[in-house]
Amino acid sequence: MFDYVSFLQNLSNGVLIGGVYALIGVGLTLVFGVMKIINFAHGDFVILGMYCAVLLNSLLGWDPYLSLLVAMPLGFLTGALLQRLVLSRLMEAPPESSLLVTLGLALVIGNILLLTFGAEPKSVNVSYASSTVSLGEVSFSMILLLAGLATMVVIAGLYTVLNHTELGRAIRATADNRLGAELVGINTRWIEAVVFGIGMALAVTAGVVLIPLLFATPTFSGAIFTLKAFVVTVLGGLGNIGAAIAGGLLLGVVEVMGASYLTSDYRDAYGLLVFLLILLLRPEGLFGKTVKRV
Amino acid sequence: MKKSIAVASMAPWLLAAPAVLADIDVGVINSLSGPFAAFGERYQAGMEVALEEINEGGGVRGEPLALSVQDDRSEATSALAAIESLNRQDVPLIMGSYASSITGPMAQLMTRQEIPLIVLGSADNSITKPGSPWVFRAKHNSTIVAESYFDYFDFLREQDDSLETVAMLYGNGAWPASLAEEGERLAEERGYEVVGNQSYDQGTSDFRPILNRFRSEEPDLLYVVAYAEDGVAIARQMREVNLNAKAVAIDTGAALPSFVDQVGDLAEYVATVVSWSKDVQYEGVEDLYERLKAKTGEEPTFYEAEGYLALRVAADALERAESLERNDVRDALAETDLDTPVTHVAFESFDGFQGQNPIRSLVLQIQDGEHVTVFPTDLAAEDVRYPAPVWDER
Amino acid sequence: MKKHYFIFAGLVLVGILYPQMFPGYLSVAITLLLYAGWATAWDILGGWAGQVSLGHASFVGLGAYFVAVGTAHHEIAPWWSILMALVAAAMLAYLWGRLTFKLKGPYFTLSTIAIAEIFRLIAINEGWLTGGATGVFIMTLPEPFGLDLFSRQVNYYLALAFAAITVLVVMLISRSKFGYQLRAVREDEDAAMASGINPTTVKLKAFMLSGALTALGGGIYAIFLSFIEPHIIFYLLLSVQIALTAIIGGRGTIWGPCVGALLIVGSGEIFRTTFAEANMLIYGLLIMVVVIFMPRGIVGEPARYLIRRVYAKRAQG
Repeated sequence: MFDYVSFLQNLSNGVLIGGVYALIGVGLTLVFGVMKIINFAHGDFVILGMYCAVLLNSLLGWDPYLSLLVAMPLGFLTGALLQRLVLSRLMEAPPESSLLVTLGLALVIGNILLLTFGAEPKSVNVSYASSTVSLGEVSFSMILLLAGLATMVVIAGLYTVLNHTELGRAIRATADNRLGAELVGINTRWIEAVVFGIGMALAVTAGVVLIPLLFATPTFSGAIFTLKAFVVTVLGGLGNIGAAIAGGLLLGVVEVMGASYLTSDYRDAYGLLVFLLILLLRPEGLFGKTVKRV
Repeated sequence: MKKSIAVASMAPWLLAAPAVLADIDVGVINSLSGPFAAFGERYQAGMEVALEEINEGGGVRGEPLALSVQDDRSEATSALAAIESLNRQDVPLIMGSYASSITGPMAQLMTRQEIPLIVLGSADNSITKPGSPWVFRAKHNSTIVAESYFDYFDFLREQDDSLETVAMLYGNGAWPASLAEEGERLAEERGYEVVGNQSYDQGTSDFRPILNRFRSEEPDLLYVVAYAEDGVAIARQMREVNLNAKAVAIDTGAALPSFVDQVGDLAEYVATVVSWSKDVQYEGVEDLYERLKAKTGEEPTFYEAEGYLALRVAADALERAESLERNDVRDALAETDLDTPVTHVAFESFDGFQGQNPIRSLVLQIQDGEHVTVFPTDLAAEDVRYPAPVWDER
Repeated sequence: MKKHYFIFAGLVLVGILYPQMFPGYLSVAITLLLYAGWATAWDILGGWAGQVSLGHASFVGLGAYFVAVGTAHHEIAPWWSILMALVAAAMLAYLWGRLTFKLKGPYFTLSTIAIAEIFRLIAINEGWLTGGATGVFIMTLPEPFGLDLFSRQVNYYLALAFAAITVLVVMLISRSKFGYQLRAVREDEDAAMASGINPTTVKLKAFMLSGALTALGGGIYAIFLSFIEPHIIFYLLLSVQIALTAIIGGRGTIWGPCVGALLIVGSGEIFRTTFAEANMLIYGLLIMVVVIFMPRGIVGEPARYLIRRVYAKRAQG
């Protein structure tokens, strides 16, 4: 007897969680697409978002979605500054340098958080923490639904900016052909700062949206999120945003389905195995074109 | 956190201290940084409360007691280096650490170097089974804790003999895994049918698939071993998927006050085993509670109490020992017979364990947002609330 | 090159005498030597062959588990276990390399992380093989020639031998045809292929060597700790630390990884007692500074400077 209710429930959970993974992955892939930087600290930006929400909640009682108003601009500014001051020096260096510097950055961010907030895991308890919305017999977690909604709004916003604004055109131009973009007068250094800022803002948003579900620990969780982000972007193809979204959804579904129908002990392994398979068989990702270097 | 920086920076001064003030230095290896720092801070607080109490009472052998604290950075290699460092200071004994991955190697090394070890927080069976003549643990181990849970289940079964099935969910860390192993053994011994048995990787946040599967089995009892974050997620998602059970036990995660803060009403009826609680019927408990609360500025947990306990045991042994030579200290420890507001302490050998205090662990149940001692009945403050009503009826 | 041999001999001499001079500081020294050896071994792949791996903890774990499980569960003597571990490590490296070397730099690194993670999950879940999450205690070890393998002194000499072997291997590589092939492949793979070098074979050899040596260190590590658990052995941070030690010291140099180990383990020890919580922070800052301003590492930068000076002098004639 096939349990349709559980199946639908699992599928929908996978999709919703995948949406958040997509949000994290999109930020990473955007940064890579434009600047060819692999940001190892991306997961720690997510954690920064979580702590932002925790702080605003404990000081002012704000709901996480309200703290987005503060967290997103803050994330953007911090990212842009980081890029201008630190990462711009790496543009000439081999790609592994960005990996290593951002690794160091991850350690720095994690430990600053540890010194500031202490080691105790923190979360935000919202009133709708375990509420569900039911569609027939299938119930959806309220938090996951809201997260999915937020993801859609943010990604739609990003899509609009990229495809219907001057800024977006400049970004796409820089990603495609940096030299060419400079030749037509685009200030690529400024664009890079903006893009990194956007990437960080996206990560921070994911953190804020996730905090009612999870706990923030300063040094441990960052690496987990970074790894998930990588899996997502590689699944979809580094530099390809639409594909990152698909990759996120795929990861979410694979994880949940694997955990439900095969054994949960190896839950994380399913995502990793698929990730490895894709890397080996189709390194440009499921949807990617081969990444060119300028 | 700031306190621990203060204490750690005291370390160099403590090196000088013995020559000048003739303090008695007790070595401490604790996780003050790294992933286990949250627990390390709590142990530190408990030890400091004990330290104040001991020194107000005249110290040990007429001298003030002092702590020589070293950070193990939540890693084994640093702990081993720390042992060497404390050894150079000639400390009579060392207390430490939180994680079994650290305490295990410590125990091995200190046994070979013949330095007495008082286990601070690691509860894993393997530390005192087989253990060694140099390793002493005053707090519980996995067997004791698992037995407490099943004694509790047996107690409930006396009132309601329809209790038959149990579903188990646990993380894949060393502690949850060992509790699960013991749980499986006890379930079989005591005639419970295990209808669900699932471990998850630390870092998992979505338990819905597992809980859904459990729900279809309709377990009478739930036996969960989860740290703080997972525990909260599990509790919330149990409600979401509408998983009901007559009695729910969540180890570790549910014992912290933050569990109730995060989960609110969903925490009601959840039971958890601890080594100490603020309303256990031992003498001096209220006073200890007040002092621990003043030290940390928040609700104290059994972690702080265990830190307090370890130092009390150390001081008591040092007082009674023939001299501060490690052999004499070890002999004194072996003969410990001490009453504290945390528990009675004596180190015995039984069932393959050595140097283990057969502590009576307590079962707390969350009632009206508070952790209340409900079992064993002679130490309880309130009656158990059983059975837990289904979610929709709360 | 002679200079290097002199330095090597000198250091080994110091190493042999060290326990007599500082008998109370052996654990730190063992940790330092292990990291020096691991970083040097890592560098064969990461520096000489140019493939950055962040999954070397897998090899450490392989060596550690072979020894621990071999001794505790199957009563196999550690030297046989280590031998088996070396073979297993080489085989693993071969398979792993075969599968992933066609991946470009960062992709390869990501794959190493994924594979190490999978190992961790296997170690945790397959208790029948590895003792599971609760870990393995090594209670007794055989006594070859009457030596107590648990004694700190013996551990120290084992670690010293390990570090010395890895450095010796790298010194031999640097003078050999293999070394030239590695450098050629690292600098420009296409050109190397044009001169008849098979990059994949070269990289595979480097990987197998790197993996096997790392596993050797892992076996000694298991004896040092006498207790291992999946969470500490197959640990991402360990892989990262090994890689960073080599990078900060200087990739592709003979002494770079050793200098890196001295710096990192040494400062870690000092900071442990004073700046406890800030030491990881300083570590992170250090990495950022070194990679941005001294990409060739602490040994590499001065080395490059010296080489350029030599060439400049020659050019001036």
